[in-house]
Amino acid sequence: MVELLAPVGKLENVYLAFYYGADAIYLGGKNFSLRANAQNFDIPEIAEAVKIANDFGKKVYVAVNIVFHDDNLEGLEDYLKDLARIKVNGIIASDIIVVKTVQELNLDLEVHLSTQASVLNSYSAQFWKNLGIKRIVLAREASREDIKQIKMDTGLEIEVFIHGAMCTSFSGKCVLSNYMTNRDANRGGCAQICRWNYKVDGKEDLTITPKDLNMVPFIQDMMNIGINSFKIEGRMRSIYYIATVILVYRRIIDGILNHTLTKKAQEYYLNILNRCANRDSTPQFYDKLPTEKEQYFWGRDEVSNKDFLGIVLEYNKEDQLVKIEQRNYFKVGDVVQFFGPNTKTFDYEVKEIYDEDKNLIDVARHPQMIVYLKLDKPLQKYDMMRIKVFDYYEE
Amino acid sequence: MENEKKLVVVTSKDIINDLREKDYTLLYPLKSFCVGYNLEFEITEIDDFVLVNRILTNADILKLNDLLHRNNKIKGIVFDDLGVLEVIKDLKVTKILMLNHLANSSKAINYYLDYVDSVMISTDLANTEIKEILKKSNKPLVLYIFGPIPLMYSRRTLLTNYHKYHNLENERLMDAHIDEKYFRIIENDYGTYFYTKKYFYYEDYSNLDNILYYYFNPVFLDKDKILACLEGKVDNIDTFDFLLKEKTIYKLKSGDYHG
Repeated sequence: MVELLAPVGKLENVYLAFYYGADAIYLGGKNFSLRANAQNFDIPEIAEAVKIANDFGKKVYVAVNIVFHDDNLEGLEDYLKDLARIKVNGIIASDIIVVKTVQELNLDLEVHLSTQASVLNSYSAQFWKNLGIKRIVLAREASREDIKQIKMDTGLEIEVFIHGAMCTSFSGKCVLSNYMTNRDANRGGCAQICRWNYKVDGKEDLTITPKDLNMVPFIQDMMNIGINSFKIEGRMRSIYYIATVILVYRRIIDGILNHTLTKKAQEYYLNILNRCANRDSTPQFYDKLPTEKEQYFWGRDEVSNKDFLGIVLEYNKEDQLVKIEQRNYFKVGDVVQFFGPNTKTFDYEVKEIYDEDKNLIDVARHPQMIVYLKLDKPLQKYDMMRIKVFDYYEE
Repeated sequence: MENEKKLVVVTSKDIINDLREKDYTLLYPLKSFCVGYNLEFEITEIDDFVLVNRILTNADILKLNDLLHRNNKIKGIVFDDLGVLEVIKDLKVTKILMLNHLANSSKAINYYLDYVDSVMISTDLANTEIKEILKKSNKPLVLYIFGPIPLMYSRRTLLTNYHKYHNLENERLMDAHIDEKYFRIIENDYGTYFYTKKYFYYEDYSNLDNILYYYFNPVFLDKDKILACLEGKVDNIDTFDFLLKEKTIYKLKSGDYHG
């Protein structure tokens, strides 16, 4: 069965990712991982994440995916030994040093090859398989035919990205940040220079920003060709984004497995995904070479919405009050939606808001303030509240 | 220094005879297997080293296998995709891996040297790092001495997409800049390459040990400048030393790991 693999940037989000339907998560340690700006995990925190995963019967992979320079090697062996000791389910590496070190230390650690290695053919995949790699995260540039061929020729586990930001470059083949900012892109310092405007004499600015990846239309096909793991990008994304994306793909995958996924549902899920991200998303290399339609041409174009209104902390059946931690401004009269992995999405008009001391207020205006709403439908901890933009689909 | 240790990318047909006369080792970009060059060669035209710097699909590798086995004049191959290793196993040529931006430590390079004759050191390292790698390498290495620095390789046809979107006549070679940082961008059907507009020049290369080849990439230069740069005369070329004097920033110092 295909694995739904979600990104987690901090310990608080581990439970949430599993709760919303991820089969596995990937995270970065404080050392040796790309995404230097994510909060990231130390060893006790990774151990805690593994414990949470075990409770759910799910998995944790740890990214050890920088490209090492000679003076970064100190501490690597101890770090890998620690990861083996706390029994993470695998590590994600791009540098041959990590692959060989695991072998030489004879560690009980499954190694997955990172997309940074840009594998696009089965000969390259076989090279890594011979070094003990169990799974390859293929280059985002892989087409359907490439994926199918590599799977068929090597028998390796194949992981592909299905959702999230795209690099303009082949991953690992870009040092624009090094040139512009002296920050090393292959050691977590990517400054996203591909999202800047480039001046061209006598012409419009050149922009090279890709739209995000969104594989909703091809999930069934990707399951048919035997992909083992569907990966969502975004260790630095918000919990609302992560929860929404996980839940949408969980429902699509389960809908396909149960033969219940309809076209109407798929359209609804696409709307939800497009709304929760701050960029447009589209399939990219799977079925064609991306054209100008898969790019942006007006520079930095992210649009932030304030759809995420709050997260449910508890529901009291006795007084029918739901306790919510506010995330964005809402007021009496707003029409909102509640959703969660075990809660059918429903609309709700905010008629009364109570503050933490149960005083009536008109507006929830402060981030993370605690409020109560009166609700006769039970909710569960970690359900979420968002602005109603679309009619919900009866799941 | 012997000219044959200078591995020169052939970027102009006019210059081939001059380069041969002076015994430089020639590196020909192979047609349909390279990005970043405005001149590529059919396999039948190549009688020295062949350059394959694209990331390849299965179909590409099979085609490459066929081409390489048709020409017994090839003396060496410089390649980026590890999949190429499989199809050149039986070829008695010098095999050089050019995993640019990913061969950044002596340890990684020594592991790769188990499979090839040499590795090209990444172009984004500081001088101290380069010297450390050369000192610790198990075999002589290839060092990028001269040429624009390759900054980014995309599978997308970024220039075609740009011109199409803006309804402009397509150009597949273009200059652009962000503030004072200038880029030269070149595209073909297999992708887009961003170079620095300035030419990197490692001035003191003749003092280095453990070098198999000094790599010269005079792409976009005219004949006179190419011949001049090979003789160390770069006064008329806009050169810089990229990151030679300053290591790139990594958030950790070595030894920061405490579990």
